[in-house]
Amino acid sequence: MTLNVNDLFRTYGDFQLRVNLTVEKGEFLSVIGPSGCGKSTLLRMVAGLEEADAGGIELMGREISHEPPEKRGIGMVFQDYALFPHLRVAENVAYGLKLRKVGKKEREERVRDLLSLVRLSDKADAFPSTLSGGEQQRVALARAIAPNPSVLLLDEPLSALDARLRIELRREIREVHDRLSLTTLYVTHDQEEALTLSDRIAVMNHGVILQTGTPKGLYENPGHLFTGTFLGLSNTLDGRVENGWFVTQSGQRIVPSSEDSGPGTLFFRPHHVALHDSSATGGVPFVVKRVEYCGGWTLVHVVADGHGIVVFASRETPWVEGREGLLEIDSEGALFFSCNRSA
Amino acid sequence: MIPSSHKGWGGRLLWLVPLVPTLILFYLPLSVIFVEALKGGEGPSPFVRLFSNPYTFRVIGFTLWQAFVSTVVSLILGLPGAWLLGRASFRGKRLLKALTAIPFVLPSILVVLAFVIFYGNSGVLNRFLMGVFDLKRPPFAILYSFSAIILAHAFYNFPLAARLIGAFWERHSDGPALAARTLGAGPVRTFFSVTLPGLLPAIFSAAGLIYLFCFMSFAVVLVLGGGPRYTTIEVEIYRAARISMDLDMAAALAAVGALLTLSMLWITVKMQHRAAHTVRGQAARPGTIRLSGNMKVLWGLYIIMVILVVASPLLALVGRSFLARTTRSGPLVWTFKWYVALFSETGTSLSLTAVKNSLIFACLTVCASLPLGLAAAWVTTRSRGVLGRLTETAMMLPMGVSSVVLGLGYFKCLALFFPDYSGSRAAVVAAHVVVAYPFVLRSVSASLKRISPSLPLAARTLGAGTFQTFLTVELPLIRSGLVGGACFAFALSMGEINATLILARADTITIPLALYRLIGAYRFFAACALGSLLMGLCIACFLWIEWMGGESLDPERE
Repeated sequence: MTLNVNDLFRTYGDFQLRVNLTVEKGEFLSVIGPSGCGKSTLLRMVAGLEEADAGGIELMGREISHEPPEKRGIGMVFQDYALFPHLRVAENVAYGLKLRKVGKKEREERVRDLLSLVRLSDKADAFPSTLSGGEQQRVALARAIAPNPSVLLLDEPLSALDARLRIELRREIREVHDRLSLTTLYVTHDQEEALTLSDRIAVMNHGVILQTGTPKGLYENPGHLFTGTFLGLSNTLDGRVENGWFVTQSGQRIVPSSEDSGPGTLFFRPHHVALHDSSATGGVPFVVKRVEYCGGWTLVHVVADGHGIVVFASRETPWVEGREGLLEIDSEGALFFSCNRSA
Repeated sequence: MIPSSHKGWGGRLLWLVPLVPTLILFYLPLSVIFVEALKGGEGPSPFVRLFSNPYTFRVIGFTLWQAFVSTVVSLILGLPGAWLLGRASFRGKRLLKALTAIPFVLPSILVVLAFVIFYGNSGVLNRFLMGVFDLKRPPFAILYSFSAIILAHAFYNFPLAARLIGAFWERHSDGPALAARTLGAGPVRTFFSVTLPGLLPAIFSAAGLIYLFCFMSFAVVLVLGGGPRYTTIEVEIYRAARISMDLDMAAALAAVGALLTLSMLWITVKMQHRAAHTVRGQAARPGTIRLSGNMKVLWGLYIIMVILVVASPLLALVGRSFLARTTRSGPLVWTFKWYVALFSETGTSLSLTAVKNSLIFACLTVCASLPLGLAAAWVTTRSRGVLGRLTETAMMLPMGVSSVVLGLGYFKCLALFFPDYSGSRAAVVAAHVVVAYPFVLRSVSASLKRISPSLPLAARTLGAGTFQTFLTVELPLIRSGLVGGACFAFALSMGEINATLILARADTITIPLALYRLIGAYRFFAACALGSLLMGLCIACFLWIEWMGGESLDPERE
């Protein structure tokens, strides 16, 4: 393993953070969670920018939790890029190399390579203030990886950019990671970023990591209701399992269930719902509330048994506002979280 | 914020660097004053003597009253300027804004001289009016009176009011005012019911600062007040210490003065915090209003008035320095002889010594206040702990004690600790440093606070230690604040008269002291030449500060 966070503990007033986490060599791991869940604090503690009350951080087998940040051998990309405004792009990238006493010739070569890696060779002599947000982000990335850190930390690096640029840059970040086999710890609140970028995702809430897993695993089979609702669009219905069926609070039978009887929440994704004409047999009656055209697909918002449910439909959907029908939930895709079990 | 355990010893002990000199240079003399005021020599305690004399109450009362009137007049004159600077857009706005900072760097004795030259009974204004209207007596005889003090204080402070309130107005959202208009309020009603109440935090904060300045004003009252009738605490301290030689009485008065000014500083700082808080809540930056038509004429008149009040006394001073009379009552002719006389051995060698001394003192002041202010700024912006906050307060307190009181403290310390030392150079430089470094601190703090907190953190993750981070990232980014602070310290030292006059001995004649003596001897032409030289130096400092970004001149950035 490369990075091992053991029982790292920190309190801020009422808030408590307690984390165990392992990032394997060459792995891209994202920590995802709502704002205030402690994910940035975790990253800053790994970097040495904040102090832990207890616990340890091991990097390449070396205990670093009492080392100052400059001795840890980490690279970090900040949310606001933190480029040195008085230094040119090449000087920014060379900064860490200079401190490590890398010779001038080798330094220049390395800066040249890195700038070409992030496609900024022509901006070497520019000052950061003259660059666009995306370019600044790429300089920040090149600067962080220049001294060959054992682990690269990224703190919501794309949050200040517009949507299109974010998609472009996240692909670039992943490509750079793959090319250099960097061990990477990436913090974000954006589930789409986490899903598309990561080898593994750690889902964090209220200061603890609830679950780690691959993007596909967590999306399709979340172990926690929180994970399921935080990653991607989803529907939930409160109710109970009775006689082999999940029934809502008003008594409407929704799907067969093999779970033990008792109260809980039914969780399913929008693509696990099929909408049928009123002429179909079986199913739960619904009425269409709103249809949202999203370009490549359509989102149909319906109300069934008093609950709002969102459903994926094709671009050419026949469903229009006010139309009634019967819906069917794929029992394979639906998960039941018992009140006694789920968070 | 880097955890303290990762800062290293240097980082942790850095707060001692500014704190120890401040303790020695400021708190020691201040304590000596308080001790002497309580103990005194023989007989009843100085405090008892002080408060058994009704004259004391008259002096304190007058000090409070003149500061109040000066503040009100400055605010009334400054408010239209605040609107111009804050909300209007017109050509030359930048220049106007820069001009409002000029009085800030002008030494008080210079302003006094300019006022005597311009508003004096035989000054430029009165001679002009007498000539035009064929009058027998000067129509504008305000010198050596209450009005002269108020006018000089307004000269100093209304540009400051305009600048401070204007800066607040600029950032103040105009949403509420626009809402009031859409709800049916006219422009006048909107101003009084919505805009003015919104500006109150800034107005109070500016008023507090101006009140403090006027309360501590010295040279203006000493010369333009012209007698015991118009005496303030500061002037009375000087009289007691250097003229009636009653040092215990001076100490008691200084203690009272210091307590009053410190409590005023406390109130002002509270108000500034509130003003800053109000602004922070409002994100939207309002648009500016383009001046047009009749408005232009009205505001043109205001600007001309401002230029007349501020610029004409200064221009008169410079003009006078190039004039001379052929005989005692003969006509005026152009000449350079006053400037030549300044630097000739046979002429006033006093001036030559004064210029030399002033330059030496100013350079030493810069050399000492720069590292002091820099260390203080770094500590106070980078550490959030109790120690950091305590250091900050300890470092800013000198702003709440007048330099007359400080001078008296040094005067007593010299007598107490160095009875055999006949000069006062070291004490004068120390006093100048204490006067100047809070301004360096403000200037550097302003630029330090603009550095994104993640920049030094980024440097740390890239392998730089605390000191390396400071050298390679922070220092280059605060260069303008440092240079601005240095210029400010230089100008302040060049113009300092309060502490210098109290401490003056044979070896410490400076340009302001020489000016004071020349004014006292009615040698106005020579005074104007020396004054023009001083003004040139101060304005050069000012231009340099403006050129570096002018942040040291914006007290609202605190």
